[in-house]
Amino acid sequence: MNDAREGNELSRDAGDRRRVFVVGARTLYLQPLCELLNSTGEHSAQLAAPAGAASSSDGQQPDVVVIDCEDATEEAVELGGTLFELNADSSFVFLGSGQALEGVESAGCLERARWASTDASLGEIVQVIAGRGRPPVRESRRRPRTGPGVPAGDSPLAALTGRERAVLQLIVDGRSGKEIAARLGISPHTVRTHLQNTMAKLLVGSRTELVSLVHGLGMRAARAEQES
Amino acid sequence: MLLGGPRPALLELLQLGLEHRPGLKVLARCTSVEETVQAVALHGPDLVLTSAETSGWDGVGACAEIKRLGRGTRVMVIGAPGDQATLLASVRAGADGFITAEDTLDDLVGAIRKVSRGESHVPPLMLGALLRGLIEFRREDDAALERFASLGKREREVLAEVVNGLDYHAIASKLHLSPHTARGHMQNILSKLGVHSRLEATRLVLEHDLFGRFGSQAEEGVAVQRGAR
Repeated sequence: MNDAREGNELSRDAGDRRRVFVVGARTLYLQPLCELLNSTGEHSAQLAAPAGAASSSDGQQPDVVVIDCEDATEEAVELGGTLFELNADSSFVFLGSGQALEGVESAGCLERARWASTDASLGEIVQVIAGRGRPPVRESRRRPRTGPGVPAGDSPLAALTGRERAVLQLIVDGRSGKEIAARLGISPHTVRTHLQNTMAKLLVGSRTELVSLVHGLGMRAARAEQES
Repeated sequence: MLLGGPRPALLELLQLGLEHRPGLKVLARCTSVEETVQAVALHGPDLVLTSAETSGWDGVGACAEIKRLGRGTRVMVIGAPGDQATLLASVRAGADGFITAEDTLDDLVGAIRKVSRGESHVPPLMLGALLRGLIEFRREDDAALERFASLGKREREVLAEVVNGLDYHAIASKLHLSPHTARGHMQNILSKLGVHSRLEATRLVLEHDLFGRFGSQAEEGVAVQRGAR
């Protein structure tokens, strides 16, 4: 097993590592998963049983929460719901087989979380947890939810409505939800809804990922253009 | 040792966990029962660890097939917690050990070492119910054998075709009987076996391998397909 990622000789300090919370009962598989994540030097992973997960994650502010679905999704979806509330800024990953994917998808969880398949290789799962690379999602699910006539997109941002883009720009500027609400004359709840829709359309799981993505897309440059 | 299971990533995780422990080497990871059995025949591992927690993977059947190879391979089954039915089926199929996915790696390694030494491993909490289940099964088994023995030759022929999934008309035509006669035989069979339907009769035959065990003095032309468990 590789102990360090190639090209990255230095292990990051505990403080810099991405905190990963792995939730599930299947210790036999999840324990080595945590060990693997810890050995990359990039993550600091801990395992939590579903029963105690809500209270453990409270206040811990993990960067990523991984929920093991096994082949059964009801409990995972329910747990996901609770944890989404408690960890609004965390990235979420559901882990399970192809069968479980359907249940999770139809419960709408993939608007807020990514999917890591146990039918794929372990390497791919780690990539999803690390926030790199797109998990395989059936093409039909990528349809943006705005009206007809949305361009297939030179930019993924083309799928956003005007409001969503306005909220996004302010987020990128580092404004808080409250400030955005005040500035746009809408309620904080609406701001959150726009954000959630935006994150779903752009296939990201958290605000931090959203901002990274947008930086990558050169949005600031585009905005600078608009203002000039 | 070999690992067998339907989810490639989970097998990889098991391998990672195991290979950190001294003295354990994973020769191969197999994602189909067929592949697993072939790999056993090819590599002759000391032990096979096979999943039995999910649908689509017949871990118990894999265990039985591996044991049938007669190479002395030890088999450990990974089942769902509290799944007494699978535990019972695994033990009947010859499994040497049973653990659950909720056990720790240390538990697993301990169990592997025990089983490799020739001991058996059953989760202590599940042992009581297992023993009761085995006794119960034995009673049912003895009764089933006795009842099966009370069937006449023709009745056994009809029963064999029922288990193969044929309906009355097909049976009648295959055995050169009138449908009426075939039905009559069927009623007698159900009554002698103490069951209420063809489905129950089929289950009884397959679960207790009645044709396999009783029928070594087998009637010619009686062929019972062994369905997948």
